[in-house]
Amino acid sequence: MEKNPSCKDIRLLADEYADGTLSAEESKYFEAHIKECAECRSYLEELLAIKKAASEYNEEIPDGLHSRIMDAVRNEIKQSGSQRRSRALRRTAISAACAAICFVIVLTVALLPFFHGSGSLETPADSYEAEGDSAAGALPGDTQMSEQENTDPMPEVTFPSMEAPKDESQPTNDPELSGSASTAKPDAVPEEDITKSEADEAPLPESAADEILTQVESEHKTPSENHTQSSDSRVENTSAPGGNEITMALLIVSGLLAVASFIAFLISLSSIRMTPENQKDNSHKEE
Amino acid sequence: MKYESLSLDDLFMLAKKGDVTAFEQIVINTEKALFNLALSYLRSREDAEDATQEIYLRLWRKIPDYRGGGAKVYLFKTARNICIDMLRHAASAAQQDSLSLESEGERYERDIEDSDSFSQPDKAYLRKVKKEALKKCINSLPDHSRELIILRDVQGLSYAEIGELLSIPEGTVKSRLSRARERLKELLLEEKDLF
Repeated sequence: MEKNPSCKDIRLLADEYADGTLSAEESKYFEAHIKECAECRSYLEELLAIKKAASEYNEEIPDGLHSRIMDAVRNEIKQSGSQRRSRALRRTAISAACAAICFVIVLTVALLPFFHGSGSLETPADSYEAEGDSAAGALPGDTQMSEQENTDPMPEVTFPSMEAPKDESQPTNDPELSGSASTAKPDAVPEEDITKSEADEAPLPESAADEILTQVESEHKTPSENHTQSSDSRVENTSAPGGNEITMALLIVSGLLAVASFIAFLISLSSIRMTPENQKDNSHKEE
Repeated sequence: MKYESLSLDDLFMLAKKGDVTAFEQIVINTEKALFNLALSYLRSREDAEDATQEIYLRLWRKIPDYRGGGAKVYLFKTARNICIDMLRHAASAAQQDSLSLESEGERYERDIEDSDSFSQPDKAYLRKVKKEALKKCINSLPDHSRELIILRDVQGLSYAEIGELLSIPEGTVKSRLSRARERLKELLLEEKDLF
């Protein structure tokens, strides 16, 4: 017998109708058809019988299976509880170690400038004090000065007011007389000595005195100029980037790491506390 | 708290937090279904018992990762995976199945012969024989067909749940289920003495 085209569609809907998953509209269409079509009605009845038969497939569970299942689960809980505790302890120890390491790093970075001594935190005033304490070789001007001392010994300056008092017994400032001093009286100073002392005591010409004065002034100026140069260089050093800023960045990072490690340590501690409490609650509930 | 009145999803969320009593209620509600599902795959009561125990152990280990939604499918998926793993690992599973089928078949024939000796067959006995015949017919189905019959007609999963469990579209579930029922009907009609 050839199936009606509508019977073919109905057979497709029969499974869903038997399962109760058809929409209201589709169910009405299906029910209207099977009222008139004996074949499709028979098909539906067979399908319902199969479903009913299949639903009786289930067997009862064997005796003792439930208790065996729960014993196995409780053993698993005991074993995993001890494992979780040891894992939590390990996590706590690691967190504490990380926190300690970060704390040491923070301290080291914070105290580093104090150990370093001539670090970038030195103020210009400190540098001036250092220069004052060791004035010999620190400044470039000093070397210049020492070179001058070696090559050109500083001439002695004598002023008229500083001349030694004249001796009346001695001959006057008469070049002729100074030259023939050797035939003088026995108490007189030897001729050579006289010529020397007289030459030393003789007033310098003005041009020579001016030259000496300017030389002295220039030498006095040189140290101060050196001071300003060094202060400029110091200022440049302190204003250079990377000194304080790197230290601050290191401090901040280390501080954050220390805080994070400490928080992880606290969380690990709380997880250790949770495990035994949870077990106690469960045992209480089972009772 | 009355655990008997809670839904499977609610029990899962409680068990996720470590509530052993909630987990035991899950076992009570589902152990029969999972045992019979394992039995349909493994076709051995001993293997089905081992599989059922393993299913709940694995569930206890995995349940902390449960994120909610579809507890039934989650449970059946775990059960199915374990049963398939056991089938793969059991090298002699085919031999055991053939033995069990033969033993079932032998028992079935013996039961039919014994029933002939009665003048008026006992109804309960007849029901038992019919049930054995039904099991034989369902076990004779191809694996995919048998699986669909078990999940839909025996365990009562919806088309959507079966589709999610087997990772196939809902339409495919309907068409395959229709063919599986057709085949089962043919097998049952062969047992015309009983059906």
